[in-house]
Amino acid sequence: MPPMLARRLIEHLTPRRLREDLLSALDDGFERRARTLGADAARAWYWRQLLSLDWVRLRRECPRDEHLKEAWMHSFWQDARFAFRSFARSPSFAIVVVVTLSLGIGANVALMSVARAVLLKPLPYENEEGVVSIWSQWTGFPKTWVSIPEYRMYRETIRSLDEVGLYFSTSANLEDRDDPERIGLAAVTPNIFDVLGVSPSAGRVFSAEEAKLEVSDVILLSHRIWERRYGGDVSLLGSRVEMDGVPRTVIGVLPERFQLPTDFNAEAPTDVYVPLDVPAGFESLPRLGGSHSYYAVGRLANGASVEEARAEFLAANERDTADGIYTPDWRFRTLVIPVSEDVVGDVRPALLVLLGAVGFVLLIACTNVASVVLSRSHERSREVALRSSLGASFGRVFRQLITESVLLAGMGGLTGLVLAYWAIDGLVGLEPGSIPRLTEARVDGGVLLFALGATLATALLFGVMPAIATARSSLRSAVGDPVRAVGSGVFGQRLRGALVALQMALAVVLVAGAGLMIRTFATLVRVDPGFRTENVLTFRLSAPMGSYPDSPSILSLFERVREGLRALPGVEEVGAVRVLPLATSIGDWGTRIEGYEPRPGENPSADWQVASPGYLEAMGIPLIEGRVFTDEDRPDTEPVILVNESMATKYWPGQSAIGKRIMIGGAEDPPWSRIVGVVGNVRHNGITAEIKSKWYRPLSQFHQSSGFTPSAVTFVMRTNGSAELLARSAREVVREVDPKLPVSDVRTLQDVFSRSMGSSRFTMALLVLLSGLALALAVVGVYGVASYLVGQRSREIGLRMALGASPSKMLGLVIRQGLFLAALGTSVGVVAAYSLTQSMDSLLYGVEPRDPITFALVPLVLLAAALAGSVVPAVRASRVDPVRALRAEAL
Amino acid sequence: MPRDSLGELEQLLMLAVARLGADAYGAEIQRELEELASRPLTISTIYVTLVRLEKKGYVRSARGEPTPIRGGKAKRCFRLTPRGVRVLEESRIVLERMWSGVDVSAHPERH
Repeated sequence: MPPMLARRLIEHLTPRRLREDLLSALDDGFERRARTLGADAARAWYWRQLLSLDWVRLRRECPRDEHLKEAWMHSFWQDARFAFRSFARSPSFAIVVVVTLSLGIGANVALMSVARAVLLKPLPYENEEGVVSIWSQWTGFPKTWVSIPEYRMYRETIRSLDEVGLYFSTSANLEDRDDPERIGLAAVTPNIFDVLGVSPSAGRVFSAEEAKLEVSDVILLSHRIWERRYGGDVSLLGSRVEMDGVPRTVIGVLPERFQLPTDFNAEAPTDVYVPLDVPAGFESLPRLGGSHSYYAVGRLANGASVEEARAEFLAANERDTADGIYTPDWRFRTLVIPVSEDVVGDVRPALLVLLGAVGFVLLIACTNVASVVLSRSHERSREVALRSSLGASFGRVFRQLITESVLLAGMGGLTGLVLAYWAIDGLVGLEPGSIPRLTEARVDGGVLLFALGATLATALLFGVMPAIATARSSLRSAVGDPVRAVGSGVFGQRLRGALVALQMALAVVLVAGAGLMIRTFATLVRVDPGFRTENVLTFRLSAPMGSYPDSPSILSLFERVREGLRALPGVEEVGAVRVLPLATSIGDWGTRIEGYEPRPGENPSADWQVASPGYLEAMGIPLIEGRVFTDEDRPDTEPVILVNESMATKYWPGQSAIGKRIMIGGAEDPPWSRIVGVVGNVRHNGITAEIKSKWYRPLSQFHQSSGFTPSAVTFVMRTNGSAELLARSAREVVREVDPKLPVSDVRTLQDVFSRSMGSSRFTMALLVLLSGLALALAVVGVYGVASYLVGQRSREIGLRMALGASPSKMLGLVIRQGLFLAALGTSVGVVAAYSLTQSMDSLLYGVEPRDPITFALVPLVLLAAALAGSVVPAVRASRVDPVRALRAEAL
Repeated sequence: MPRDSLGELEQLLMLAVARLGADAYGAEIQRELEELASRPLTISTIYVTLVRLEKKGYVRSARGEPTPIRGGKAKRCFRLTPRGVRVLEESRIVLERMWSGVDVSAHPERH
C-alpha cells in the first residue's frame, strides 16, 4: 500500500483533471517497486514523488482550460436536462414551486417599479437637492401658503437661500379652438425657472419685465398640452391663443417631464404658465397684510444645508414675533422641506410599509419552496444515494441540486416578471391619483436587474440548505448508512417545522398590518362627511374675465345655468358652491362677531363658503335651525349668512345663533350679515380633517362683503336616478348658455368621496391582498409539513391503531402538530408585529398601531389557517389501515 | 529556430509514447523512460510535459478501455497526433543532418 498521507497530499495538490491518472500511475509505479525493490524503497520513492511534485506548474499548465469549461457547460446542460426530466415526472412539484415563486417575485418587482418611479426617480429639476419648498405654519394650520410680504422677507434677509420663487395655481379656459378646455394655470415669478433649474425645450421663459401687469400677455405651455392640443407644432411659438377671453402670446414650451412641485399631487397639473403679476405697490404692504395664498420654492445657497436654512428661518420668525408682526398666539413658523420630500412625503410611509410587506411575501414563498424542496429530497434520497455510490462527489450532487433550484427560480422569475407587468397596470388603475408619479411606474433596466437579483437570491435561499442536506446524506448513505431521507430525521423534521413556524410569524406581521388598515378603512367609511353622497353629479364651471367682467354678469351666467339644469328631467335639486367639500380645499377668512370680545392675540376666523340657493338641499346637508338660502336673498335685500353647528356652539354656546350678526371684510365698508340658519358640519379638506367654524354667504350677496363674486363654482345636482347619466345633458345646458365655456371635473359626489380615501384604500387593498397571499402560502406550508408527517409516521400510526388507538386520537396528533407550529410562529410574529406596526402610525386613522382587537384576532386567523392546513392530512392519518401500513414497512 | 522544435525532454516523452502505443499512460511512460533512457523522471514532470505537449497539439489523450488491473478504472492514454509525428520526425532529421560527417572525438576540449 502506498503511504496514505503522501497519497492524500498528492491528491489535494494535483489539479482535478490529472488527479486520477497521476494517482493511478503512482500506484502502478509503487507496486512495481514494491515487487522488485521492496516496500521500503517503494515508499521512499513515493515520498520523493510527492516532494518533487511541481504542483504550481502542474496547475499552471493545466488551468481550467477549454476542456474544463466545456466539461462544466456540458455538465450544466446535463443537469438542466436532467432537472427538466424530473420536473416533467412530478409536474405538481414544479408547478407549486414556480407559481409560489412567481407570486413572490412578481409582487416584489411590481412594487419595486412603483417605488422606483415614486420615491427614487429624480424630480425634473437640476440639482434637485438644492431645491426646497417653503410653507407657513401657525396654530390650526400645520402647513399652509406664504404671503407676498413673507416672500419679500425671504428674498431680502435669508442668506442661506440664493433665490426664492413664488407661484399660485388656478385654472383657466382655453378658447382658441372649437373645443374650449379647462386647464390648470399657474402664475409664476420669472425667476422660478432658475430656482427649479429648468430651461424651456422650445422658445424662452419670462423676462423680469414681463412680470409687470401691463405687458403680461405672454404664456408658456407645458409639453403635455403642446403635444396633445397643438400636435407639437413649433410654429405655435409667437402666435396667439385665447385664454379666458384674452389673447395671449405663446413664447415657449417647457420640457416634457417638468412640473411644478405641487403639480405632482394635483388632479389637473399646470398646462399654461403666466408671469405672476405681483400686486403694484406690494412693497408698501404691511407684513401681515398680504393673503397667504402662494406657493414658494427656494434654492439653497452654495454650501448651505436645509438645517442652516431652517435655523435662519426660525430666528427670523422669532424676531418677527418679537416685533409684533405675528402675535405670539399664532406660533408662526416657516417650514423648509427638501422638494423631493415635499412631493412624495405623504406616500413614502405607505410605500415603505408595502415594500416591507412584499419582501415578507417573498420570504414566505422562499420558506415554502424550501420546505417543498426538502420534502422532495426525501423522495430523491435513493436516487442521490445511487448517484453518489456510482462515484458522484458531494460537489457534483450539490451542483445538480442547485441547478434545479436555479431553473425553478428562473422560471418563477420569468413568470413573476409577466405578473409584474399586469400588476403594475392593476396598481395604476386601482389608485385614484393620490400617489404622485405612479403612472411613471415601468419595468425598466433597474427593475429587471432587481428581478434577476431577487430570482438568484431566492434560488439560493430555498435551494442551498436542502441541497447541502441532501448531498451530505447521499455521502452518508454511500458509505453504508441505511438510506435515510433528509427531513426524515429529527433534524430535518425540526428544520421543516421551523420553516413553517417562520412563515407563520411572517404571515402574522402581514395579517396584523392588513387588519389595522381594514380597521382604519372601516373607520373612514363610517365617518359621516356631513352630506349624502348618492345620486349627486357635480361639475365645475368658470366665468372667464373677458366675457364676464363683473358680478352681475357672473351671477346671471350661473343663474341661467342653474335654471337650465333644474329643468332637466330627473333633477331634484341644483345648487352652486365656491369649493366642493373633499374636492378643493377651503381656507379661512377673518371674521368679526357682534358682541364677541376676542382674547388678546386672538383673530376670530372661519372657513368661508359661498353658495347659491339649492346647494345645501342638493348636498343633503341638514338644516339644524332657521332657514336656508332662497331666491329671495338678492343683492338688494338684507345681507344674510348661515353658520355651521361648530361655529354656532363656539360663539353662542347655550343660545340660538339665529338673528346674531357677523361682519366679513374685503369690500369698502362691508355690511353686517344676519345669521338666518344653522346647518350641519361638513368634512371639507379631507375625510379626517378637523371641523372648524364655517359660514356660508349667498352667491348673490357675497360681493357686498368682499367686493367680488367667485368666478368659478361647482354645480351640484341631486337626481332621482343615476347621476352619471346626467353628465351629457348638463354639458348641453352649459353649451346652450355659452358655447365657449368648458365644463370640467364632471364627477359624482360618490367619486369625490371615494377619492378622498384613495390612498388609504390603495394601501388597504394591497395589504389585504398580500396578507391573503401570505396566509394561503402558510396554509400550503402547514399542509406540506402535516402530510409529510403522516406519510413518514404511517407505520407508527398503523402500529398504534393496531394496538387500539382510536382514529380520532390520530386525527388529534396531526392537528396538534399543526397548531403547535402555528402557536410558535404566531407568538414570534406577534412580538415582531407589535414593534413593526408602529411604522404604520401615519397611515392609520381611528385605530392605534397596537390595536388590541387586531392583535387579539390575528392569532385566531393564523390558528384557523393552521387548522385548515392540517385537516386533510389529519383525516388521512385517521384512516390509515394498520394492516397495509405495517405490511408496507415489512417490504 | 523553427517554431516546431522540440526540447529533449519533449522528444524523449513523445518517443516513449510512440513506443508504448496503446499502453502509453503515465506509469508505463515513467517506467519506459527509466529503463531505456535511464531518466528517473518524477511523475509530476512527466505530466507537466505531457499536458504542455497536448496543448501544443503534438499528443492527444483519451480515456482508454478499463483495464482489468486496479479496479477497472479507465486510464488516460496518450497518442501522437499527425502533427506530433511530423515534428518528431523533423527533429530526428535535424539531428541526423547535424550529426552527419561530425566526429566529436576529433575536437577534444583544450585547456
